[in-house]
Amino acid sequence: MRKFYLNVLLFIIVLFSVLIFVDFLSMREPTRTILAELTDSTEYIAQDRGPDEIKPYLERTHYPDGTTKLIIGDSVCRQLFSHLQSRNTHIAMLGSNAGLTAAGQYIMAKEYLEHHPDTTDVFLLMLPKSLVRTFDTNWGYLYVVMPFVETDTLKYLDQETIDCLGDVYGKLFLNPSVVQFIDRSPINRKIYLNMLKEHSEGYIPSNQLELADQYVYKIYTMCKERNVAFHLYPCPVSEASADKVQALRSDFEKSKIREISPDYLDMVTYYPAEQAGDGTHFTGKYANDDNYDRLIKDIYAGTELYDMLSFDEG
Amino acid sequence: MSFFSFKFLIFLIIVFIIYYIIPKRLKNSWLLIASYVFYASWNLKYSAVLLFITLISYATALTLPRMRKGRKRLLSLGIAVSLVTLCVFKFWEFWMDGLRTIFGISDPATGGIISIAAPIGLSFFVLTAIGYMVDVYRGKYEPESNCIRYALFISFFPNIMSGPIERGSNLLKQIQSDISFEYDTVKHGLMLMLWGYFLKCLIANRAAVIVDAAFGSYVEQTGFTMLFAVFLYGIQLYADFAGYSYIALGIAETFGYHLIVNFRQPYFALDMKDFWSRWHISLSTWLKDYVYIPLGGNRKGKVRQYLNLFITFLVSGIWHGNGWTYMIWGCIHGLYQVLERLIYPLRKAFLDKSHIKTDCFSYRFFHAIPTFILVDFAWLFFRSPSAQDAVAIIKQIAGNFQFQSSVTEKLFLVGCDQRMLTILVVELLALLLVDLLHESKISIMGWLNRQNKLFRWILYLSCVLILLIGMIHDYGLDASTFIYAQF
Repeated sequence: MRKFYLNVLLFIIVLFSVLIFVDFLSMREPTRTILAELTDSTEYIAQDRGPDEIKPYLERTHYPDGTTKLIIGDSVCRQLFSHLQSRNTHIAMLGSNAGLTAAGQYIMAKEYLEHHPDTTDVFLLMLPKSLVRTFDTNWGYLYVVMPFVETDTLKYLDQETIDCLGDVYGKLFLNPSVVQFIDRSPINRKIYLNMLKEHSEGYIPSNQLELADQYVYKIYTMCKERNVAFHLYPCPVSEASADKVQALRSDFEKSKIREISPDYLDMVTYYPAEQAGDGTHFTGKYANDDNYDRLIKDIYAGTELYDMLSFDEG
Repeated sequence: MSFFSFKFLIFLIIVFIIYYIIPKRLKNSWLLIASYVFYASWNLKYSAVLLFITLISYATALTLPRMRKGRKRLLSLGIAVSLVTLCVFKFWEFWMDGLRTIFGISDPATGGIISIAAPIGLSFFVLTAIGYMVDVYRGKYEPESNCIRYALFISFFPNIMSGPIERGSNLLKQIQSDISFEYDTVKHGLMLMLWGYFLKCLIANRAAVIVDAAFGSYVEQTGFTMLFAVFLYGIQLYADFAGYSYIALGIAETFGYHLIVNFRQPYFALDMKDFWSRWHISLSTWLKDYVYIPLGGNRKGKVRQYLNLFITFLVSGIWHGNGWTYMIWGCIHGLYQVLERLIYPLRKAFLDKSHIKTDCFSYRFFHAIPTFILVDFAWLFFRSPSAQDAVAIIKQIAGNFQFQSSVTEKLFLVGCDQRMLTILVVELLALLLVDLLHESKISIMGWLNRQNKLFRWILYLSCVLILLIGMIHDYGLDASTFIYAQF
């Protein structure tokens, strides 16, 4: 009996040592790619997702680039405006991803304002459905937790929000070392993210705009304290999603967002569904700079956003 | 608490360690507690059903030998109560649908039928209890007077969920004897578990993704894709069920108990009779002993034998599930049995006259293939959502084969790209190799034990690593990720 337990213990020690070694290899090239192939985890080392996508934007908020205006928002905001960056060097165009949620956009705005004391305007452009994004099990960890833990900026969120993140993703998984451990290995990422989907339901807010109310309002008050003008605009929405936008109206009428931007929902511009292959972003022949320029001129004409933009080359 | 959860691993380790620490007189009680904890982890309320069946069968069997008159009536009562309990839960939806149709009784929340989940393993432990009562009635052995031992026999956690369906002459007899720690038995148990996890997690689960995707959208698939899916379903079912059985056998062996072997390379069967001596052996032998033989078996003439066979397989179909497809599946197998017996004299005469060797590879190969095809055809009904769907799939296979386009694009849409296919082929080859070795009565454990310890350990580590890599590979895999990958 003793021999059995000793053998089992030794086997477990050897097995764990091998597993730790393999995990170590999964964090370093070239074994990282080989192991990702073996375990079908290659999609988890995509460079354009999660922290690798967001951290460059966070780094740019620190650049002494001489900009005095900030545009932040979701991926539609990025799609529409990023091509104008070279023509508008006075504006930091940092539209990123709806996955950040309003909480992540708050951190982006805060970091920018901390490093750009001469800021005059902050523009937040989000689809209505991006405003209602919350801490889900699909993208939340990649976009709300990882980039901000790795840049030590998660602390700027309210403690209540951090506790909520802990409940959804596990307090242990907000630890910087653990985040690194998950980020660097596609295998660890795959295991954690799939376990998350199995064991967590994500955060279910009391109303659809709960998170947006909290953090869009925080951006607004933060700007107000610094005498910075804050503007909230909707991105253009596919006609196919018109019902979902209208379904937000009752929550919107009771929200703090309405105080900041009473016409937000009314400003929503709908475009034909065939222009958005995925139902959200412009695709195919509609995905080009000329079309984006045309859309911006059509949708935002007469706004402070439009007034500050330059569409001329050079 | 599924066998495939971390919680179960912790549970098993605790039960195992304490089992071998405590005195012998407490081992059965400890296992009984563990079995009820395991069962209650699925649904606490249904532990009462398990306890009820245990008490009914215990009391019935204990009373039987003491009665001079009315033994048959008591046995019938015990069996009836057990069967009614089984039927109430098994055909619950049928009863509730009737109540809704006739009396308008429905779920106030949904307006649909009042639905409940059936107690897990009910079909298995009810048969175990019935078999025990009948065996005692027939005088095969004395009834167990110790209620702890008997309760353990019925509720033993490794096999309560999905069998094997145990017999008093096997498991109860072992429970009645003293079990002590045997290093080789425990080691063999762990190897069986490893093999079971390989079958279930790597082969069955992977095949299930493709099968579910194909059957879920069969209207859009080609005939070849559906034929492939039906073939794969046969593999999935074998790997799933046999995998579970090996895990159950392995767990039991770690505690020193040897359960009935449930599968014996079923797809090497040479005919349908041989198939049923290799597939779900505990059920087929139970049906033979407690349905077929009591009906008269082959003792009342050929016609009656065929009828008894047909009824036995019909019962098997009904036992498997509450639906027409299961009944049709049972009927198909009943028909196979009857036809096989009808043509047997002709076949035997032909073999005798032509001097065809029956104990060679070629004979076995050319009999195993058609047997597999017949079995797989029946599996189509077992898997299909309805009989109409099964017929539609058959028409699809016959009328819309499209081999070329299936191989180049359609298979991908059900999750079978080149990578998946390669992995599946390698795994199936591993399964084939192990089954071939077993069929040739070569003991893999025996061979392993003759090797050096370092070699054995490297092999064990490699097997565990392959299993873990495979499980990570498939983690999060489901049919929808392939069906909707195109959108």
